[in-house]
Amino acid sequence: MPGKLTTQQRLRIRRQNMPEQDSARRAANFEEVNLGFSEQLALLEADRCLQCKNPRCVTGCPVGVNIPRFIDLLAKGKISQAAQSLLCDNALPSITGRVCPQETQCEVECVRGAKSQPVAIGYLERYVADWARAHRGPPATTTTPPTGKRVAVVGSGPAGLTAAGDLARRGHAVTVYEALHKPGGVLVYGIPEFRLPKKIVAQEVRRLEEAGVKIECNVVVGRTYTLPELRERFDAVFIANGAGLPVFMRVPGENLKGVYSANEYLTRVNLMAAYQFPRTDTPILRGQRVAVVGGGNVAMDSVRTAKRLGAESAAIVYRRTRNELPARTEEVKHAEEEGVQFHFLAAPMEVVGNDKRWVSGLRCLRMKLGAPDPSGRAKPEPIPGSEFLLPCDVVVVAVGTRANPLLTSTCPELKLNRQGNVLVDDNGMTSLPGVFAGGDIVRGAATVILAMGDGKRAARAIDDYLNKSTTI
Amino acid sequence: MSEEIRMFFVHEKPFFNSLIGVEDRTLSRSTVRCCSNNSAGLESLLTLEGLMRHRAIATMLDRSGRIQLCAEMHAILARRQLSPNVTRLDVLAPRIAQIRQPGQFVIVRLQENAERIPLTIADADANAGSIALVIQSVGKSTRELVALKPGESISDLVGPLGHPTEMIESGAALCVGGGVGTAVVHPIAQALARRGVRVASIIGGRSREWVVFEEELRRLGPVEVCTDDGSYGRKGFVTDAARQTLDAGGIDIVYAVGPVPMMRAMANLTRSFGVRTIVSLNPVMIDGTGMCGGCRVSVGNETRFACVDGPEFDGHQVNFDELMDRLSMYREFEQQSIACADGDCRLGQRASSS
Repeated sequence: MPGKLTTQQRLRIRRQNMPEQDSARRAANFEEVNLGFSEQLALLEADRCLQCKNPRCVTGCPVGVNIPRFIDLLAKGKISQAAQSLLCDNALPSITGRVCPQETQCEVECVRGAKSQPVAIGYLERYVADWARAHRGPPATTTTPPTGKRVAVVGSGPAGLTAAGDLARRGHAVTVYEALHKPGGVLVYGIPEFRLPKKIVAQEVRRLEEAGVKIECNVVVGRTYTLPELRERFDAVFIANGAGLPVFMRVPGENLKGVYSANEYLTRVNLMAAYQFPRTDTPILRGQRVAVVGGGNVAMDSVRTAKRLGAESAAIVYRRTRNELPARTEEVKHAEEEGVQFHFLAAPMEVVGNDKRWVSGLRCLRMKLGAPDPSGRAKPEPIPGSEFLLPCDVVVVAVGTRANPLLTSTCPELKLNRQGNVLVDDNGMTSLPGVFAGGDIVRGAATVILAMGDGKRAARAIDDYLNKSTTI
Repeated sequence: MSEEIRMFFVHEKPFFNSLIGVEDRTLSRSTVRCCSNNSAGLESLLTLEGLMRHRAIATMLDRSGRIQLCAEMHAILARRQLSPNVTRLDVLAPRIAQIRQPGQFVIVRLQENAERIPLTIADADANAGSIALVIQSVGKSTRELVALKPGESISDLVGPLGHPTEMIESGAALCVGGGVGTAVVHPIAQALARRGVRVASIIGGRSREWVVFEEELRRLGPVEVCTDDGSYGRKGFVTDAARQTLDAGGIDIVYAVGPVPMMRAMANLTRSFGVRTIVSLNPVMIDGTGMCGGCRVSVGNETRFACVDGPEFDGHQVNFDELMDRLSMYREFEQQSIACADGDCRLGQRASSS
């Protein structure tokens, strides 16, 4: 009987593996790689949770999901309650269940990890969230009476959506402004279909709309409306417009035909569905040999996309070693299974072109790891005379993004740091009263879940701020 | 703002119902919300004067057959053929019509699966809530856009994007337009004239029927027309006429917009005269907010993004060869796209997989 197992029995259950699409097949399609737990697998995995008195996993979660509670309800077969519990803590569980780096957050804290493997919290979250999406009742009528307060949210990515959902639940009238034609931000333009199906994002967005959140696409705050205008029209503003400016390598040849920023490469494929060209209208260069520079999740997304677009070879070029790759372990593993090559300890010096100015290769220098830099990571140092040419016809630059000045430049009173990120206090409030900020515009390029954590904190702070301004 | 619109529609429900042909059932909550969803589109209807006007627009949206999206659509109010492949569309976009400045552009996406295309705002009527887009039909997407009839609509339209044109406050400006680029020069000339700057224009086209915006520019100052074949005005390139004007002296600034070779030739010409020259660039672009970097151009050996740093730059600093080269990046794809639109998708697919 579930829920009646002894600790010994629980300890004997082994971690269940995520069923996956076969690697050879999936490398040629854009369908989701992870297929999700069956009910049987989910219940088995849920029984592995020891229901710790002081659950460390919760402390590892940036949005503080009560993990043991939803797993316990799931294990007892009360999946509807499990879903309620999860949704109460996390506005977008179908998304975080897919893209969170659980191995460095909740799961790394799991006590079971010490002697065997941690509970597959992410897989369980995904299972419960997907069940909730499939078994959605009529939209819950808002129990909180309207406060009459109006909040503008700039950007409909993970931070913006989370804040919008929480604020609407607290009875505030929320309008989200999105610059692109579809809501979702990085969830739509950045993360590929095979990792996060766009249908799921659309469903989560619709759920928020049903909860009363208004989303206006095609509005660029900083152009269509300025921040001062929003401050006049709304009682509070939450800025979550992301870190949308691609960083290039600043090496010769970067403007040759065939060089993409990862942002452009992924936006063409994900937002504009260029992989279906010519059934869709936006084209993309399908390279035979694609080199992706960088070692983060965006680099992995790009290189796996290249493979799916039909590249014979798709390679990562990274200046440190496998151990320093910032990408999630699962993404690296999936990339390897799909036949992606890795060139470690290599730093591009020049993009080489042919006589027609199309990319023909990437000239690199071999590196070795030196002493740790201020971030604690070993600093790559060039090995003199170690130049080599990596032949390729498409280069994707995935070495990071910076803060986009489009909004901030229209409001000079808004205090920024030297990198152009918005400065906030512990509550997420900026130098302007009533204006809050979170996600990548504050942090620089980070993760979906950290942005969601910011959104959640900001919603609480905005609620406090609005309540205070009422009593005054 | 949006609240008021919702009120309006709820209040006018019977009227609105009859317009959109929903008779048997009341408007669902989601329909109403959709209608008030996009202030950029519907804020508009409130600012438009008179119910008749409102009725006209609502009816047009109805004919598009996409009622549930009506408020998010940008209706075509008027369409005019300016030259054999250049069309002017006046599009409902009240917010943009109010705040746009010369030199700025919008990005349009006609429908699901369509490309995002940057288009300079050629003119605007804040009272009518409309902006004028002048479109040269070159590929599948532009061909579909210019085929739009009044009453039909554009799904997505965002802006105004880019920096406004760098202006002078007094003196004399020479505005040079080539082909469809003349439509981009027009709002600049308009703004200059409004400031009291003396404006002279030189505009060119292949032959008489390819010359656009002549009448509009004549209202602002003298216009010299050049055609390649001499069928109208002076025979020859705009640079020939510009050289004469510059020789005569007294020009403080030149604005040149047209095909890249023409802008390059103009920049080379004015460089020898030492006259500041602003050009408007049209690289491949997706988001228009600085996110993708696809529109990068080299200006004074620095990489700049046309969408957020431009689209206008100092013509003497622009690397035109690189711009032209990058503009050719998707040429093959354009043909496939057209082939597919013409019903031969197999051809398109073959080409894309080869």
